[in-house]
Amino acid sequence: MNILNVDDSMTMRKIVTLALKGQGHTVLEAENGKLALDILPTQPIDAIILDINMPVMNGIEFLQAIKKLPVFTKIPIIVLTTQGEDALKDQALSLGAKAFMIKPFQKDDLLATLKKICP
Amino acid sequence: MGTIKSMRIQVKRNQHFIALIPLYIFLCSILAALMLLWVINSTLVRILASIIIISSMMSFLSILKYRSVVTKNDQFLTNEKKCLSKTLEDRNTLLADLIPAIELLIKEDEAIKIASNSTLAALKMHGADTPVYDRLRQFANSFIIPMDSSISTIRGLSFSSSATARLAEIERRIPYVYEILKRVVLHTEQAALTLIENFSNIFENTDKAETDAHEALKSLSSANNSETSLDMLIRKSYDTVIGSRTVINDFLHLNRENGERVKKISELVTKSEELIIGIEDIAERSKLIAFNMAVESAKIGDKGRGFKVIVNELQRLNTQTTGFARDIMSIVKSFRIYNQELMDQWLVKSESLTEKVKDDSDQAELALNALTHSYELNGKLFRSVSESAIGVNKSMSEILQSLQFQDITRQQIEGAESFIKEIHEGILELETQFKNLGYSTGKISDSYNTIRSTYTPKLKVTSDHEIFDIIERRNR
Repeated sequence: MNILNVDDSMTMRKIVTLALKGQGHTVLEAENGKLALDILPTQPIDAIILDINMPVMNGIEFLQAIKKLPVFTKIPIIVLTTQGEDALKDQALSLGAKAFMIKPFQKDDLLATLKKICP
Repeated sequence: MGTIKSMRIQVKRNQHFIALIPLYIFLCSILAALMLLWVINSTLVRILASIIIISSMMSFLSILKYRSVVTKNDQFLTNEKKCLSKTLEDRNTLLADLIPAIELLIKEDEAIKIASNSTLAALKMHGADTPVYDRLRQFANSFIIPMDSSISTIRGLSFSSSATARLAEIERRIPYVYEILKRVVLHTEQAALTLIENFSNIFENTDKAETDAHEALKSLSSANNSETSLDMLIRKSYDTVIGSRTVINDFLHLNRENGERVKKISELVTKSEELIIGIEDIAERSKLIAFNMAVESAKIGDKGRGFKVIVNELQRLNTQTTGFARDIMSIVKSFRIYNQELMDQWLVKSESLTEKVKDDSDQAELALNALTHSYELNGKLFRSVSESAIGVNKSMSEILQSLQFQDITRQQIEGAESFIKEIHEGILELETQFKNLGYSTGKISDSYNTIRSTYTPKLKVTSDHEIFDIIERRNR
């Protein structure tokens, strides 16, 4: 699968890449929502792993933006964030996110969630 | 600061009000007394009016006294303002001047308070229970409370004077805190990325090792019935070595039997030689007999002629027998020598050959044992590699989970920074308010060098000492 990993932390991007690469997935990286939107039309993407707290365009803004782009609304999105508030979770899920995970995540949980949303 | 300012304004207003009210009272009292004198033509009333006029004059005089105190207070406040302005130029000098000034102001305010209390006491002593005295009492009371407030305000001003400089000093330290936090994030991120890079290599190699070990185990496994599997080849080699050892043993056994046979042949040959010697002996004796017979036949003349033929034949037979025996002897001797040589060579060569083959078999068995041992070790090693790889993969999840705390820490620091930012903004706001009230930072007691020397021993990470140069460069 081609997975787009959107996170402003280079550490997190590398960790997610390392966790997924071993399973044969190809991981593309973006530092914020805006750069992720730039990548989307250039590559076939099967799933997105999205952080919330980012500069330039945060995760919620990205979800709002992608909702307006019908071509990409079918791409399943996993929100991966340090913020675990119920209100934020509800907001993300209502904007189209398929799963909501809190950092630090476990590799197996991420893979299981990915498998669940991308059968 | 806003509260202090409003209190100061209120004190000033009260002072003006207090300063003007005695005049109003005096005028009102005089007017009232004159009206009474003009309207009521009575001696009692005239006496009463006179008392009121006199009392009013006395009150007016005493309050004029207070007014002068208030004026003095104003002067002191002006002086205080001047003194505080001086603070802007030299904090230490100002403090030295300000503290006595403040003390004086406090003393003056206390004096006003005491004077007010004296007025109240005087009114009480005069038995003043008329509405005019009540008014005066109220004035005096209203004078006491602002004085208390004024005293506390002045004391507060003393604090504020040193607080501005302290605030500025604290504010100057905040960029260092930011710089250290920035470095913490940067360094932990670098460390985490280095770890990830190295772990990435480890995981890749582990995956490869696991795959290789799995393949190797598969090829080593006895369950694999392939004719070319190492397990099968070792088993076959063992069978071959055992087979060759049996053959060698059979060969040795046969060889020994052949040796015995050859030995027996040699014995028979020896016996044959003895027999031949016996034949030769018989032939020699026959020769002698034939010779004697020839002599005897010669003696008997013609009668012995036929006998002579027999003797001649016997001699010829003896000669032939002797020759034949010698030939056989020669053949038997040659056979014995050949047989001996054959036996010697046979034994030596076959023994060395069998020894060599036996040694080779032993070597082959040793090699096979070593190979089997190596095979078993390899099996263990591959299983161990495979198990280790599974262990490493399990650990990977935990390592990746732990490394995420760098990002969590970064975000926690960002959260702490927002608090510090607010504190910083609050300090700057307070400084502005102090400035608006006429206070300024003035001369800050500690220079960048002082900060550097104070905090260098406190920063336990030597590389963090760079922050002093960074901040100084930025401020230049």
